[in-house]
Amino acid sequence: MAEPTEFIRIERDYSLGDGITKFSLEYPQELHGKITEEQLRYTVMTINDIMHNAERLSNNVFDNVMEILTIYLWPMFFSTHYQRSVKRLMSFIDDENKNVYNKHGLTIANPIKSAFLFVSSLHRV
Amino acid sequence: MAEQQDIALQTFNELGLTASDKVSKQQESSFENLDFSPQDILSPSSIGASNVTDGSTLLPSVHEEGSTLLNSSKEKRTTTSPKKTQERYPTSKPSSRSKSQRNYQVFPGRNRFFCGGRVMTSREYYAFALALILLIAPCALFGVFTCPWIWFNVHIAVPIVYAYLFVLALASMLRTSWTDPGIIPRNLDPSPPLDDFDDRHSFAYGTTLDRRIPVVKKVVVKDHIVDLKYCDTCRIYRPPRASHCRQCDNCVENEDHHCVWLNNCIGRRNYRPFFIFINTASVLCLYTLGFSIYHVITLYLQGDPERNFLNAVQQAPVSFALIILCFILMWSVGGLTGYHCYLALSGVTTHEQLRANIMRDSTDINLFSYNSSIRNLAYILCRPTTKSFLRRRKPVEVEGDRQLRSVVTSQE
Repeated sequence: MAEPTEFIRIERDYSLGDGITKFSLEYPQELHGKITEEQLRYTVMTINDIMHNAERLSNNVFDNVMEILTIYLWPMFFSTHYQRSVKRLMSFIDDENKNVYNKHGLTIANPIKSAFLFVSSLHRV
Repeated sequence: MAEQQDIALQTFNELGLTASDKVSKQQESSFENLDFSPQDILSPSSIGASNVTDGSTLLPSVHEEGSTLLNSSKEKRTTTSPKKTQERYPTSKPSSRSKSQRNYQVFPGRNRFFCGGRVMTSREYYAFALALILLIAPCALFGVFTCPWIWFNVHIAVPIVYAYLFVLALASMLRTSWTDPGIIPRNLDPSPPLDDFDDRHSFAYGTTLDRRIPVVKKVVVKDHIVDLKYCDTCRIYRPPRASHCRQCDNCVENEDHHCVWLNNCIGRRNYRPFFIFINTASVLCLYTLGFSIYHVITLYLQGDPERNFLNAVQQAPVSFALIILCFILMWSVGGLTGYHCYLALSGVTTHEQLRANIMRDSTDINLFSYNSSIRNLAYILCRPTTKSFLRRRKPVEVEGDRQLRSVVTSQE
């Protein structure tokens, strides 16, 4: 008696080029009735903003320069801006799951497991 | 409560029910051999605060727990870290539990892992050993034979800077060689939409082979349409700029090339250490060359009673040998460095450049680069190092009997 599951995928948006992690704001019709368009839009836009902040060059220059100058010892003692941003992303996704998505039987999967190629919500049918 | 949920999940897999999904990190052990009884999992010592006291009544209570948890599992999908669940299950009976494997032990690509999965590299070691010797030997010779003279006769800063550059080059080399280049995990798209492929040869052989290949996905990048190919080995749609490396048998993000000398692919996560390595190696080469020449020339000019080049060489044979060696090495390392500086300023990878050379078509080559060289260089050197997607040391997850009903994307 296997339980069927359905994945609803939000694809990656490459329109700004490579190196910028962004997800498409299109509303998949399978979420109709469960998650409103505004809620999904808010979730995806916040994810995009967090990743945009994570990948900004000006936030990362200091970490990279120190890493090279200290011969790669710096990241052992201090967390980098990118790592902190990804942690923030994970906690945001957890909050969204708890507050919004789990009520409708959906869960947003960890995007690291999907290598940021897409964001998938798991729906238990 | 979360622990009981973990236990219930484990028994679900055993009983044929499944409640696993990609999110749950709570399944700790792999279930390759399911010949241990539920009592081993649900032994009171492994639960902690449990309401199951008697082993004989375990099975019925599991069903009760299971059914209630099946309904409530939707709300309780919090992602707890595997480390926490490991602490909650002290292995009191290690022989009866199946050994949990970590992801790096079941990795399908042609990589080798050391130090418990923390170090990863590819398969051919001999070129790497040779490259290591070529870095260490001349620097050691320089340090032992020429540096004392320089320390006393020139300036003490020279050997100190040299030592710093040497350590930086060596560390960069090891970091490039031993880290994950940006490998994309497999099986992210296990069932792609297939295309009907009209194979005329199938009629010739009289068979009705259904040769359907996956559709090419099209994405829009900066107003151009780019095709994403499906990689059959890794079962993903390869993102733009990713490439499948034949030596490592992996798809790597932003793959520059596979470096035999460093025994690893050069991809998104280790391009910066690679760049630093070749730059410092060529600086070291020039440094060694320059100061060895200085050494020999100074001895020649100090020739007493007469200037004799052969005498000078006899006084400093190692320096002379270093001159010859570094002169030869300089061209290869320096050439590679120059080429990569050019690539970094143009914002293209080696693969893209070679493809453009072969195709004689440079319309797409600058699709991903910025308009100014400085910005390209800044991007290459200052972009963040992304997290490794391989999750090497995390325990292997068992997906269970999951029937994937459909994968619906939002761009169809």
